[in-house]
Amino acid sequence: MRDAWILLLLGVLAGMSGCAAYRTQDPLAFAGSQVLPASCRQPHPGSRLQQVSAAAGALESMGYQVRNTDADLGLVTAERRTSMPGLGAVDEPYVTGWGGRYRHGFGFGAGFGGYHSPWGVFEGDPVRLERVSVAPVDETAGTAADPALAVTREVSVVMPDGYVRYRDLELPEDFCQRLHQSIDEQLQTAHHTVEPAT
Amino acid sequence: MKRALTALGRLLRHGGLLLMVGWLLYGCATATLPSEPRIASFRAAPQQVLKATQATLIEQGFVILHGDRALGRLTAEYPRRPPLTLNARVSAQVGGTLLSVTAHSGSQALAPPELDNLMTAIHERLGEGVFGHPGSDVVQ
Repeated sequence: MRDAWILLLLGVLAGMSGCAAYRTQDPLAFAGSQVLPASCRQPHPGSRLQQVSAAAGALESMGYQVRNTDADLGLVTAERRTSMPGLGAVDEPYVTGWGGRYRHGFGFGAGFGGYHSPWGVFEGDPVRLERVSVAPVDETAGTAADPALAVTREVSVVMPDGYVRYRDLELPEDFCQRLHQSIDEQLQTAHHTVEPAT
Repeated sequence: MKRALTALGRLLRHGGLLLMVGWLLYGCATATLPSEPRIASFRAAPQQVLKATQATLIEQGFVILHGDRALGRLTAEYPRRPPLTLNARVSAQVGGTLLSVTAHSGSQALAPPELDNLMTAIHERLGEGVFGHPGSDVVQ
């Protein structure tokens, strides 16, 4: 009888631990800790308009496509898609069977259609999608002289069937450093040639 | 008589166990909430509030997907699986600005109280924090 109670207690504990949502880091906490590394937020000279224009130019020179800009907000968003051939060769959610690859739980015995593709030859490659946003921070209610520009980048790897295999915030130092350097270069060259209308 | 009592006791015990298991499983079911916005009012102009929202989010690691000052809209995403998406809208109000934000984690809407910290951070950034100005009123 006593053992039964212990078992029940263990069962309850196991059940409760299964329900606990485990989050390593809550993005909605806003505890005041600095998430961005210092290299990803650096001040730049010039007016807001010059900065936006330089950031857009810098992203384009790095192979990104500019998606959205707002000169008043100082916002530039851009993205880049890279094909990653060979990445999906040995990986999850597929089961390799006779004559092709199948997804878990679907398509068994279906033969044609669905997820069936003989030896995977008709599938595309996984795509690496990078989304970058550049926006000013240190923006106070009044006027801000020389606000720093902050950079965030989302990297996701999307499988050909739309399954998102990986998605994370990736801000390595060399990426931020390169982007800020490029913005500075663009600001210098633009200074001599173009005078943006205010 | 005695046998009947023990049978009844066993039934009660098993019933209690069943109830407990059911209760445990019930706790795992997630409630789907309608997409209600978290609304707060500010004394600053709409443009300032939108800029403060943008700066607060990008400092926290959010990627801004879309922003338009004239329309007063901002969309940001936190990169994880499923993505955490925020939609912010500002509108002019008598004596200030109304900011409403909705949050989705994948297709699931987040409850408005989860955005309390975001609103506090924006208030702080604009210098309208509770400690700075006791008169700052928060709608809802």
